[in-house]
Amino acid sequence: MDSSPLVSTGQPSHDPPPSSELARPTLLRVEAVSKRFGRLTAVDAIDLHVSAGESLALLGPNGAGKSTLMQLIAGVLQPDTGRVVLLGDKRGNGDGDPRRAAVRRALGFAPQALAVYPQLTARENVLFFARLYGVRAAVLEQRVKASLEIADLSSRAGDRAATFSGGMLRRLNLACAIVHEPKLLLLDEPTVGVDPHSRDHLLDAIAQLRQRGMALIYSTHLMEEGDRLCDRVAVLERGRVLVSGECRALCQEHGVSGLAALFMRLTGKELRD
Amino acid sequence: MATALLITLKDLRLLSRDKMALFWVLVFPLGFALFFGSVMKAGIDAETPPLSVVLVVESAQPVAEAIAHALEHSGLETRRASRAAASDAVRLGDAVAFVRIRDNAEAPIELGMDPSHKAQSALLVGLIKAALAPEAQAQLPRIDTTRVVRSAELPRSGFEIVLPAMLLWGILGCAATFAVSLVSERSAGTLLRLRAAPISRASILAGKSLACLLACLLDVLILSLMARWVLAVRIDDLPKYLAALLACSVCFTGLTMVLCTMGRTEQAVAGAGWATLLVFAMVGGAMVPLSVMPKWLVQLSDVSPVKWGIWALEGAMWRDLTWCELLRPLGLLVGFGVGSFALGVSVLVAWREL
Repeated sequence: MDSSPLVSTGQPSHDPPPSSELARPTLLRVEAVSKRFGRLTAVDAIDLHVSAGESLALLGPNGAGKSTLMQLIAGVLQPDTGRVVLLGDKRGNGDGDPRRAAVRRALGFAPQALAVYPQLTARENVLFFARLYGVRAAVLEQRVKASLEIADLSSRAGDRAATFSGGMLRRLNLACAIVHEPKLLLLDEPTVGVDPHSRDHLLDAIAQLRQRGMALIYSTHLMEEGDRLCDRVAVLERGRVLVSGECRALCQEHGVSGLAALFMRLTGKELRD
Repeated sequence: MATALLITLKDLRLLSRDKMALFWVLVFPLGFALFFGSVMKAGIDAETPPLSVVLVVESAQPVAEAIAHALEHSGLETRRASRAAASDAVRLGDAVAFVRIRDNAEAPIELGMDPSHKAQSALLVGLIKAALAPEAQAQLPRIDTTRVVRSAELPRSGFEIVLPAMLLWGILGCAATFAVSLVSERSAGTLLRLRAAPISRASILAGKSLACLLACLLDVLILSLMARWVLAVRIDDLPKYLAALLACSVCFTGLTMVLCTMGRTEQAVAGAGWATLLVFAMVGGAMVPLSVMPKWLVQLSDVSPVKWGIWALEGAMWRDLTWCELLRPLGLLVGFGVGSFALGVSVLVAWREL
């Protein structure tokens, strides 16, 4: 799918849209974005792009800058340098600014934390976020129902989230992020702390969303998830993109059998404490 | 035993590293002791400011002058004024009582008391009676004690006196609860989700603040209705009463924004928030009446919005304050709320929480 060239380790990636992707409209462009917290550079001159219907896995060890990058894309954080452009930038500066409400409606964001209200029922949680994202009243119930079905929570829709298991909360987290049918879905380590069955169900649900044409940025440190769900991967380390491209092509380039081996080769074995 | 000791040492180490727990076990008891110690010391050492009494001497009879002279030299803080001015002074809290000695020697002496200082009326009656020598006691007219309130039809109940403090406690509870809820949103990640949603920061703030404001108002309205129906409390001037409730709610809604910045965790904010509110309540007269506090503590109470809240509510309920007289406490409450809100939001923005 993607034949973009590899970028050498330690250098910021400049990730131009591959020729095969040019036909698809670009949903997101991250251009030389950096973010510092005091002395720590969490994100360092990162370039990325995602086209409509495409999926990108952000792989990296703990502290690589995945969550910060997700929050920059979601407009929760503002970059110190560079810019994030959503839904194209055809009409000049700022039109695709993720801070703008119209642009934010195209985004669905499931943070790493279980960002739901424990005292509300599953249905109330999803309904709240649907209304917040301006889902029209005519389709509101239908969207809420569909989201709960995708998350396999229909049978527990009337139960308070406080009574849910970790896996169910993760699925509810996803349902809240997709209820407004975003064009681009940001999932920040969505399977953290769930059992294999729930994880498998979550991955199936996400694959289902992909088949419907939803673009996806999926942050994880679990290689098989990136491999299973995404067209392309970008490996992050200390705030920088080490390599990015189509998974199989990257493995061939580095002479490794799979993504896990590629990841270890690129990031080394030392702990990131 | 060794393992038990190990666990003991671990728990003590945890306690020593929990700043909020240290506050509750060390700093707060000291503050508590300082406060109540000062109040009690004032009582023991007679440090409390002398009772302020206005004398209305309408008679030129020797008996009248003798009573006035005795009161002026009894350790009270006295001044002379007309009946109307004296009544206003008591109503506005500048004096705890007035003593009116009428022109007609047969007419009873009028002792007009501030209802919240009822306990001192016996002392004043005693002082008046002691003004005349035992052999002249027959010349002493009867003493009628009245309460300087909007309507003197019936005696005010104790519930009407304590209702303002009760309402303030309700509002303090709402403020503490909402401060913690804002931190819960932060720690649970839902605030992150709200910030990623297509709504402005102002909408998030407005939504949270409006919820707190409405909860405060609903709380005090329910409490007021219960007080009306169950405790037979009367509210004489409803518009002023509602204005006072609104001002109190605005004040503590604003304060919620500051409270939620007093820590990074729910536990820290709950602890620091309640500690702050308790200090406001103690100093502001919601636990101990201002009249028994030493002078320096009374002066310090001006910084507590609880004091102004109680004053505004009393003013609307039975002090018969005019709109003009209510403007000061209402303005201070709203100003405190707006200032606190701005401060809290500034801190949240600086922390990148908004």
